[in-house]
Amino acid sequence: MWKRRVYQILVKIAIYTASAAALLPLVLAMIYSVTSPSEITQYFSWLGDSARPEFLPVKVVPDTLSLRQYYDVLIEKLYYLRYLFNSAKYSVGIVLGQLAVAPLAAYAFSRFKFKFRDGLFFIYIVIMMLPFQAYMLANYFALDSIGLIDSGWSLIVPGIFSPFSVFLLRQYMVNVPDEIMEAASIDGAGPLMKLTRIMLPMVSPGLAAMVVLAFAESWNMVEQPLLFINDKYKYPLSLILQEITPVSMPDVFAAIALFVAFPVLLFLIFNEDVVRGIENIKLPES
Amino acid sequence: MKTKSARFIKIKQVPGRRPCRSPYGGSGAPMMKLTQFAKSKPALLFLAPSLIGLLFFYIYPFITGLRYMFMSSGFHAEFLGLHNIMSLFRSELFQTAMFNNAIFTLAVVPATLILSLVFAAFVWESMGAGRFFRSASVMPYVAPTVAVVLLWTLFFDINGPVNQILSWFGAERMDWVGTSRLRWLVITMYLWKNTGFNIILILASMNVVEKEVLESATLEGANAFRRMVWVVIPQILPTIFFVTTLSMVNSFRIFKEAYLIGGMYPDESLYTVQHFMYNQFASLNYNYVVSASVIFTLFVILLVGGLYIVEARSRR
Repeated sequence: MWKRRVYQILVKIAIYTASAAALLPLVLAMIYSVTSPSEITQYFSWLGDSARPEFLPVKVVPDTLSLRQYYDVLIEKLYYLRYLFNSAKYSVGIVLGQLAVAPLAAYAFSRFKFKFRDGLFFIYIVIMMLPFQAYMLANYFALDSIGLIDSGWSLIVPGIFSPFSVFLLRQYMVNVPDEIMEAASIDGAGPLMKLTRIMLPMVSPGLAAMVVLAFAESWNMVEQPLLFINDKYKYPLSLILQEITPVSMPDVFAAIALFVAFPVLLFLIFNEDVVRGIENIKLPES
Repeated sequence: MKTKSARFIKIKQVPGRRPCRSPYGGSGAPMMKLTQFAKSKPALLFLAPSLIGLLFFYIYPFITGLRYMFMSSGFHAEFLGLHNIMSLFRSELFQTAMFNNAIFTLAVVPATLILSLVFAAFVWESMGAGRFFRSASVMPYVAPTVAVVLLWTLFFDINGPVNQILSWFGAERMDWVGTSRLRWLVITMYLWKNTGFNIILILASMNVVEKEVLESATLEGANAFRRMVWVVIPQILPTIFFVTTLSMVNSFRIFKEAYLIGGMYPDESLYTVQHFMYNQFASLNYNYVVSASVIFTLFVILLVGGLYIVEARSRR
């Protein structure tokens, strides 16, 4: 019996260690964002110093707390805030666009039978699974043909048609029982009415999951701006935060904390829905 | 029946009037045609916005771009046949990049599979801590990569905690960041980001394992490990295939990490096919970019197609 007990405790320890490992980098970023600038600068100046005899202990508790960096980032310098605003523009644009486009397509894939439906959905899945580099040139040609290269729209418009949201919502919509939709038809509702009045409220957890995942994905964009944007002022913050000098280190941590806060808070609000959404990811049974 | 319906129509028909006429006058106003089309094919109407966007930004330019594969670049393009692809494969830079990608995929796919299976089994067996663990394990997936790159390089610093932990086992201090060991940093970041996602998928599939079989196995005296290997894993095999495919496909998406750590021209060990494509794009060698895209696309089609077939078989 005690053997089983010990085993269970070990398993619990493993689970909590893994959770801690998953959260550690994010928690540390938060902690470093409120550590006093001089402390951060000194701490990171030891990095890469192979002459140092002893190891650098991971700093978990700051000696001096400070909000000076936040003052810098939010009020005084505005350098990071400008790019944060860019990121917000792009991500909100993409998410709103997907909310307009993806439910319609998901509804078509889940509720209608038409020619080439399964083949078409296969294409959606393939595009969803491709790395960005596989279609970067295609995106570039299309954007170039309508003159959007080097404009903020070049980051938004192709993202709106990302197939992942269609895929995710379809998984929810196929699980809505037929009887409910039929009852609506008998009451005289047309397809569009059925989608907006019945389907969308029923799959609202799926919409929440879609919004969180699409937002996180677009917030994390790195590859697209490198290719489509020449004007650095139009970059999202995700590309700016990698430029670090020892002097800017404290400010970078404050900016990182602010940057992480958006997708993480969104995730924390809807975390049950997002986990359920990921659980739903599987190939269609057809 | 026949006569009855014929008579029925006759009665209904008003002579001299066409049975179907648009209320707006004329024969078949465009509006009317559109609504009729919508009634007959509503699916296409719902699909249209997404499909048109996908065709315009992804599929059509991809297909028209294919011509670069067989042409020389520059203004006086001429047909070269398979010459571009041959020279791509002969290019030393591309070979290095392919090698790096292959190493990375081969390292990451089994590692993430084993890790996610073990932790899914732990959570599933212990039943406690499930909700917190699930949320915590998705967190790396939604956190932006750039936010954690700095901390991961800190962990892997020559004076950092990874070296410290290794030193407890008697290892020398190693330079992870300045050498080809940088690969390990990217592998760790991949595992950190994607394992939690896979755990969720596997845990979800474990919930449908038949409890009776499990209980009888327990009564027969099978311990947790044996129950896992002989009862649970055979039942969730399709999900394991799916997770494997997903990890493989995701392993092609390391450019973000590699770029944020090493920039556009990183250490040779971090130079991926994706870097190669960006650099070739910058020097306007579209033919190489297209050829590499086609290789990626074919690979993904094969993987997903194979998965479809495996899943269809296993369902039978």
